[in-house]
Amino acid sequence: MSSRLSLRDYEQFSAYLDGQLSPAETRKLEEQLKANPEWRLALDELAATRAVVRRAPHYRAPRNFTLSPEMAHQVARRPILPSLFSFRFSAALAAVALIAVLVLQVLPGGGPASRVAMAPPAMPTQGPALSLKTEGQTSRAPEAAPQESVQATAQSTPPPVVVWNGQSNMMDTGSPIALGKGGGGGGGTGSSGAEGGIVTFNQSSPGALMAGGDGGAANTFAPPGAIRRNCNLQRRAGSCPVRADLRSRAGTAPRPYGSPPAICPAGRQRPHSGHSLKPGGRADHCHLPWNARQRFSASNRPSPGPRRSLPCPPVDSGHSAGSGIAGRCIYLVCTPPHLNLHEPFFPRPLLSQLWHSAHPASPFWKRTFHLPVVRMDLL
Amino acid sequence: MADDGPSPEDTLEREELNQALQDCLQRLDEEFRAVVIMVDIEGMDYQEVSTALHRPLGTIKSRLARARLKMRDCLHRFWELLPPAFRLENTRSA
Repeated sequence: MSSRLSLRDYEQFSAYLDGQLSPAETRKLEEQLKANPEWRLALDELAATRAVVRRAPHYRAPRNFTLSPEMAHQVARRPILPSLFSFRFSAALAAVALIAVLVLQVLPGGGPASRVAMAPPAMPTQGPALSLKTEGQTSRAPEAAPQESVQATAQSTPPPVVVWNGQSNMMDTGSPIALGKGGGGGGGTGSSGAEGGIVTFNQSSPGALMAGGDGGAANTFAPPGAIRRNCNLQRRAGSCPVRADLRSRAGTAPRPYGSPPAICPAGRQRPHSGHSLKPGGRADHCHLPWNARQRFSASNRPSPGPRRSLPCPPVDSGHSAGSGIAGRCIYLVCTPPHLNLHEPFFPRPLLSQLWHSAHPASPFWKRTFHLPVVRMDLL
Repeated sequence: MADDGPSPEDTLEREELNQALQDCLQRLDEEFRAVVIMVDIEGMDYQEVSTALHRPLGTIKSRLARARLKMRDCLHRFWELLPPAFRLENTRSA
């Protein structure tokens, strides 16, 4: 008999240890074990292994995982309808929230975007500044933007009637009883508006007359100086176009006083050399063509009205005339020819708009700004 | 008074032996492990295992024999953990 054990022999050993062999197989195996000691050794090893494995602890399952027929029957009878409601609560809540957000966005005035659109503008002085934005495109743009801001204020508060007491002795005495008449436009803080003032005045005028100004101008109309400052701020942000005359000033070399600008806005003309200047005018400002000025002169006829004062003579008649908006009135300043209007009292942006666009006493200005026109006769 | 319970050394050896047995059982394939557990640990006879696993009786006998051989080879690595009565070194060297 061969001493080598096959898997069949080990199966006989295993069955012998468990008592699964028939009596004939058991008798035959015992005879072989007595004849071959190696078989006996292999049987002992297998018996020892079996004994060790049987010493293993018997762990109890935490529960019976076997499905009973009742449990299997319950699974089989589960209706289909509850599966439709297996929709989790969080998913349903998210769907409801999404629908609510969409509805709020669609409804007018419900969404944040519509609230932003309905919000008032942050800076009230941006209206006049925006007028300069279109100035380079159309000639009537400077009047359009102030119209919006002034109209809004004029609707809220009626403009008062300013009565000018143009007495000649004021100039002589320099008395403070001038009471701020002829004061310049108010600054942004309502302080003295001499810098941004827009009133025309004689150089011999006392300081009491130049000062003054109405603080309410900040709420009604920003003076051109403020407009230019705001425009400078916006130009840095890229939202304000550069005016042609300012663009020429922004060059490398400053344009000398009295020299014509290189580029004029649309609708304006570059002054000719040797051009006969208007009194108090500047040669370095672009002006309207002659036909445009005639058109404005034609519309400069006074219209009857209780608040309407007589306008100044036309600018070409030899009289010095200036104008400006101070407070809630359009001031029309008329001076005789012998009074030379000094340039520093005329802010350049104001002059460039007043002298070259339309006479401030014209119905166009009154209709645009809805402000009373007050005539101030210096002499 | 002396405690009649197992000594700490006995408890430690038992735990180590159990750990070795579990390790060797986990090394077996699923089919061999099931037969060993059902026969040697659960005490079922061959016919019951054949009925439970839906396998012929000869297959159960063969799987059980091969599983025991694998367990023997695995437990030889932990022979020092085995109780002296179950150590096989004397029989192998003989």
